[in-house]
Amino acid sequence: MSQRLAKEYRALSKTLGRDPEYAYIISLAPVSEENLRKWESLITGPPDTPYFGHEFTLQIEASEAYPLEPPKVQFQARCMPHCNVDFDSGRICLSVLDAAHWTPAWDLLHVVHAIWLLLASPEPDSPLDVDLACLVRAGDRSAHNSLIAYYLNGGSRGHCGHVSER
Amino acid sequence: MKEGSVYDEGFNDDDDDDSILLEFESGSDIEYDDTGLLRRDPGLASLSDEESGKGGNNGYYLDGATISSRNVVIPKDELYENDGVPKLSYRCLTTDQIYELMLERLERIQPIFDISYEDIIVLLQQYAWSEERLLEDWTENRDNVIVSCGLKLGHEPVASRGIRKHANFLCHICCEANKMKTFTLECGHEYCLECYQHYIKDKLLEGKIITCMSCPLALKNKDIDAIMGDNSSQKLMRSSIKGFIQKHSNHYKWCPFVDCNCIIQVGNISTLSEFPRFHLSPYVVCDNQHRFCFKCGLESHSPGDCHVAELWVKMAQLESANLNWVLTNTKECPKCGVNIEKNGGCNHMTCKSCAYEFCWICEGCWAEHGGGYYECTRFKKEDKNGAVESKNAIRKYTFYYKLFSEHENSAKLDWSLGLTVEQKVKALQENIGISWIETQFLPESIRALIEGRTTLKWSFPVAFYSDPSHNLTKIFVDNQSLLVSAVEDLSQLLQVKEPQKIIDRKLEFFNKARFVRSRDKALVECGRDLLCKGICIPHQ
Repeated sequence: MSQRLAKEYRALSKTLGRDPEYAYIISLAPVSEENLRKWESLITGPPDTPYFGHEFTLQIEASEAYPLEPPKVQFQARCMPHCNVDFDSGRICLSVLDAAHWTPAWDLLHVVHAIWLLLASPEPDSPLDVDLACLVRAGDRSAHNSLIAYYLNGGSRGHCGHVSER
Repeated sequence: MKEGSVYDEGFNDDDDDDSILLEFESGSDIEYDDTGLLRRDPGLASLSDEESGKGGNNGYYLDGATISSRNVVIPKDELYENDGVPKLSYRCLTTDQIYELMLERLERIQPIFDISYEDIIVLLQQYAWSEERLLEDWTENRDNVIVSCGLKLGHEPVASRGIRKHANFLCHICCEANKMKTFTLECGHEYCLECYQHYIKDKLLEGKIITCMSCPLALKNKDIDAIMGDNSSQKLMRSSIKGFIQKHSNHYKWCPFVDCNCIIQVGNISTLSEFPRFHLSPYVVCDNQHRFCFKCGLESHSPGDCHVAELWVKMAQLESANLNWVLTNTKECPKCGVNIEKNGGCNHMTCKSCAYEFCWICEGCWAEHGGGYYECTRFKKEDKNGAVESKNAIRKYTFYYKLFSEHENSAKLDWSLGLTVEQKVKALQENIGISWIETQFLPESIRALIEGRTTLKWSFPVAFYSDPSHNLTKIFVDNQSLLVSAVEDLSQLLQVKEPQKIIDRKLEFFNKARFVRSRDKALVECGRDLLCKGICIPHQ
């Protein structure tokens, strides 16, 4: 199975930067070429969301059994205010990351894309951040968005994400 | 006896309408004794026949030869004892029997669906074995069901199902070239055989339909066997049986004893709810002579009722660090009672076994989280007062718990003693030349001993929760010590090894076992009295 990650790496270096669909991915690559099990990805927030204009780091770890088992993916801790993300740890509640729903036919690009889509469509039925989920459930978009903006701009004990220069 | 009357009475008494119930096939000898609890006799002339002889008026025997018919026959007026104590009818099944019954069931419903058995198995697995729901959807929109369950593609097939041979195939899962053998379904998603084998191996124990790795098209049993090269689909079916039993846990329960694979099926489950009123428990005995409570799944816990047992066990769990972990890290599904470990994700839990959706914090139904949404997360602060107050209670508890566990250990020893009895019986037959039937006082004595020990063990929780100043409690304690000496006496007698001595002391075996039985019964009755009169009040 060791070739799988190598192949994904090769394929990604061709896709990324060319396919406009994945333009939001600034990088998706192993942390070092020595160890292909640990990856990192930098993505920008989707347009028309409070995340737009910010960059976020995803930490990805593929186990020995990948692709038979899903990779472990989380945001950098205390960077992602989102109703399906635990702010303090960065853990994500997303069905494709769950062993029961994962299939080996998916790859890391699929996973990153699914997480990026999650940013634009929060799922209040599976909340890890109860306050944000309440706001989504109540339909109070502006409060939801401004609370996220507050977090992203350093509210509540600072934040470690960076504002895009672009 | 009225043939068949009970089948209608009991076994169609289907609480959750959407379930398949495997019907009682062949009756085993079922006997009720006059305590209202059910006992199964292995059908041998044994001491217990004499013991419960006076219960013979209420109880009855089914002759093994006459009940090869499908239904268990219980006279209608016998469903209740004279004093209104409920009776339970049940039988013991093996996984193989369950599987056979499932297949038989398939045979009967196959004409409705008019598709192959394999396809129906796929459908039923997708519908978590709820036949009613499947039939409903099937009649409403047959094509939709076929596609959504992965039996057929929504479009024209692009490949033919099966294993293919290649000279040099690049598999997209493992990304290794030079693969010779691959597998594909009609969807055309083709992957190498090794990847499919790894994928299937992980899924076999889940008991759910295995699909193509890229789409919802289902693998059938013959595909699984073809890929794995053996009869792995049997394993999947076994896991599926587990799912079936969990789904129908009202009717079926696994024997809780270690390594016992018996399944008990209760026919008249509507009577189950009547036991607590009498401070009784619905006991069943599996084919391996394990006696357990069908309601709470614990071993026989009389004289205590399920409530006593539950509180006692909860307390015992707090004592043990290991079980403490289970308590803090897992919760029982509020609906089906399966232990669930939360290993990540949010508080929106979906029970894997019954698909009930609930909130991890308040254990309430998830759908009802309206209005004060997620409120439960904020008001979860347990006050830690009363820690000092409980210290005395703990001391008292420790005292009783020690007694409890001592008898538990002795019971384990008795159980291993019981395993040697078979050899003793053989020795008696071979060395002294008496008939097998005459040696049966030995296993019967063992049974009396083990049951007496279990009663003794569970009498300590009852004593613990009882008001110590009351007269009846004192009588109860006296009864306890009488049973202790009876049990110890019999236990000692059972240590005798020489065949000749055993046969010489046959009468002693009879008498002592009989004495244990009667003391056992007296203690159980006395304990029930404590509960009925409110002298024993289980509390936390």
